[in-house]
Amino acid sequence: MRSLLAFTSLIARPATFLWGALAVIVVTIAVVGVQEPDVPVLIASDYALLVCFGYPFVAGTLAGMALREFQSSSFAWTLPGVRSRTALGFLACALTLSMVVVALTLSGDVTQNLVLLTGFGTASFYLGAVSVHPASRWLGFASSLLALLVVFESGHMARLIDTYLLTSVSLTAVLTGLCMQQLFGLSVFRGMPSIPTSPMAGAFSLNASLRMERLKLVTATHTHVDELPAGFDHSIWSWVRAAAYESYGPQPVKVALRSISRLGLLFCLIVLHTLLEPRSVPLLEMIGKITYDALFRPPYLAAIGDRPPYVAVSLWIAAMGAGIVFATPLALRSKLLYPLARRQRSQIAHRASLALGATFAVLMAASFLIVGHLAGWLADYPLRMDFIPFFVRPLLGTLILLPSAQYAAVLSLTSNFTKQYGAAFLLIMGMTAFVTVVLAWSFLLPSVLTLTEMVLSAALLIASQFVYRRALEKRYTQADLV
Amino acid sequence: MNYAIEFAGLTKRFEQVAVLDDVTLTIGKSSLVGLLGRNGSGKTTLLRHVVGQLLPTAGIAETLGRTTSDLRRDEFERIGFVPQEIRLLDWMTVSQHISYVRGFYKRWDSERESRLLDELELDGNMQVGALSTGDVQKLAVVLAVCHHPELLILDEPVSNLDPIARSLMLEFLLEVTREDDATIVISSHVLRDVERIVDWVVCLNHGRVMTDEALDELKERYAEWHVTKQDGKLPASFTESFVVEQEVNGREARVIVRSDGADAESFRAAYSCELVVRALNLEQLFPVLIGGDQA
Amino acid sequence: MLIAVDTSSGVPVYRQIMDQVRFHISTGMLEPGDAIPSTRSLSAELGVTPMTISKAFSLLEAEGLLDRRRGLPLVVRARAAEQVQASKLEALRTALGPIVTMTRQLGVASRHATELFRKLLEDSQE
Repeated sequence: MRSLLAFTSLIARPATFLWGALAVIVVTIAVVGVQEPDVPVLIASDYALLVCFGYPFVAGTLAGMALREFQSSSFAWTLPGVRSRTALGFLACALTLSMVVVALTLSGDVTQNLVLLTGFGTASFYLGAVSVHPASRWLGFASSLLALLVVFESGHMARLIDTYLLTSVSLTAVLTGLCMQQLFGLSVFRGMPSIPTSPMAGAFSLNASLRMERLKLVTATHTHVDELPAGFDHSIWSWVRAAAYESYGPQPVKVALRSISRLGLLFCLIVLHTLLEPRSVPLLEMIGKITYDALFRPPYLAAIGDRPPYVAVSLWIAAMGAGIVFATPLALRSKLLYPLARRQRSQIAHRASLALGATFAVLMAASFLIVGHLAGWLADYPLRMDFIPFFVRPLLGTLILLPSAQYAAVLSLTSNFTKQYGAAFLLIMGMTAFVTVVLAWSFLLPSVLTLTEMVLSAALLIASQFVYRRALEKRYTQADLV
Repeated sequence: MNYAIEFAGLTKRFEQVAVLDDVTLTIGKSSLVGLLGRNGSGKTTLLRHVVGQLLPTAGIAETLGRTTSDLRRDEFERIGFVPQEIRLLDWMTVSQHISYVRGFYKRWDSERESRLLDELELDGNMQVGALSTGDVQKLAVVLAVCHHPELLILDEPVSNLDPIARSLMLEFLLEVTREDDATIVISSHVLRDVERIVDWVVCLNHGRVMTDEALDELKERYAEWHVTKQDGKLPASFTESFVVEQEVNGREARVIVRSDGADAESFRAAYSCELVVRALNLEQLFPVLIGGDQA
Repeated sequence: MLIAVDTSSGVPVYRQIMDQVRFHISTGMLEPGDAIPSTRSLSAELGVTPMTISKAFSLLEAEGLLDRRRGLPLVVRARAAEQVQASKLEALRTALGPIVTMTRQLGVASRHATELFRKLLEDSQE
């Protein structure tokens, strides 16, 4: 019993699972509702997989965050039997949770194999944990991809599992085993407490006082303390460049390209979607067709397959926006003292946000255009520019909402882990709502931007920036900054 | 296995930089050892090797008779560790955190726990995230001592405490050695504190052990001589092997020596000079201990 | 028995304790047969490790100043009169060492110095 408590009390935080449940229900209803409005959400057989996989996955990500926090706490390593106890408690959580979910979902449907679904639920709990855990990047990538597949292709996946039952069960078992090993490995417990909380050793404006030999030694690969940006002249843009330097190191372009490379996962998803679709043309041509359709959705072509990945594309754009705002924000370090007045800091923060948003928009649009036209070429479509590509509206929507996310990121600098925890789920719910609205917008309106739409979008863009700027000013002049 | 800690030829490199360089060191049972050294001398790295959090690049590290890479539940039941950078679970309250940690140990002294909370003035209902750095440090010590460890590793445990709390903490550590017969290794920059409680001193400099000796022995061996000569001049420098540091100025000199009493007589006779011997405390000895001593 | 130690002095704590116990015995504050506080209580009182105290006590025992009896506290040993006298002189000798050095540094002749010492002794007796 004591062993079980070792992990379960870590996730006994109030509201943890409430947020998760809410998020999953909203996601499920939105995804299913958009794709097939006339199917009742919780009864249809392939959606059973979605729910039984989805909820443990989200709960697993929470558990993974709790585990990560615990493992990076310096007191954890010397607790006796810490690995076996947390591993056991974790397994108990996964099993209990998936059993509960399966029992709740399938009350009206007797054709499902309960044991199998419980197994998948347990596995997805582990996959969810790995996806947010730094232990193994590759496994995290694989698990995210798998989760996306189940969410966006649950029909196909259910069919696949039915056809290749033994293979899929053993594959899942192997994957889960790998996850267990990665999450509770000796090296993870040993190493995580010694990772310094801040990976970079200092800011250029204070570099002399921050030269700590020890920190430099450990963070040798991240340090750029000694390199000053050339041509620093104390103007606002100069400070924005300094912020870029402090956030991304001496090569900000590299960081931008690296974060855009996360679009790769979306294209993996589209390719996998193609593989799962029944097809009559060569594979490459099929990939081209589906990608072109998913990104551009031209009015003169019929949709291919029964569920084209529009949801995935629009969700991706929103997620990329949230990603750059929260994971790789462009900002001066919040806890350092710069020779800047509060008002100046708010101006710099706003200018930096603008720069980040613009970079984001340009990079996204460019990569979608390039990939889309490449796909069109693969599919042998003629080059046509007389319509508004599908991705433009989600992108516009994201840009309009970006300042609110950026403001949340500014607020989160002074809040603790617990608050960020709940905020993550507010974000998921917000994104889901956003995708639903954007899709409705895209599907209901013609494929050419109307004048009203253009004027309205521009007005909203400007208004959101204006409000954001005022909010920043207010915060930087009136609130505690650390 | 008569040693609590045993290092033989221990070397640790981070990215080619040797942070510990051929450290050979044994720490006997029931001693109170002060680990001293400047910033970046390798103290924290050394202590992290003791609990097996870091593994040697070369050499052997054993704690409580077991190689540190295989330390398991039994050993950790007997070890208490207060790391330098304390990261606790911020969202728990103090008493929640204590009972969480308590769940891991077979024995737990609730009486010691409540007495410490009381003496150190920690409020059990406070959230850990809202504690001041000093209070976090106190809590970390409470978490590390209530299972009566045989080996207590403290990396800078008093650096953020106010003088009163520091004094209480030191009293308490002395009590731990008295009651539990524990081995305590404490690293600190506050030499006055270390001096008060430790009986053995290990000094590191650039990852090498420069001193490994009993504190009393050090205080007895090292002394400062104030040398004056009434007539004639003193030599420009003294070449005696027991002279560790010197500052000669014509007819007057200040030397730090490592010797026993007999050397003073012969020195006086050789230079026909007057000697005033002054004992050195740890703070005065420290530069010598991390520098010249080759013993 | 009043003992005070200064942990930040360069003189090892066990030596400080030995010197003070010795002084107490020589002055007669501690008489033969008097019990010495236990190691544990003294260590708690002075805030130093028990090892330091027991080191001091066993060295004093080796010097023949203290007596250890099984299961009982240490007591001051009774000694012959000439031994007591010798240890008194020894204590004085140690204390006078720095004075002698200073006398030589100042270049004061021994004749004048001894005269001064005698005079001071006589003055303090009045």
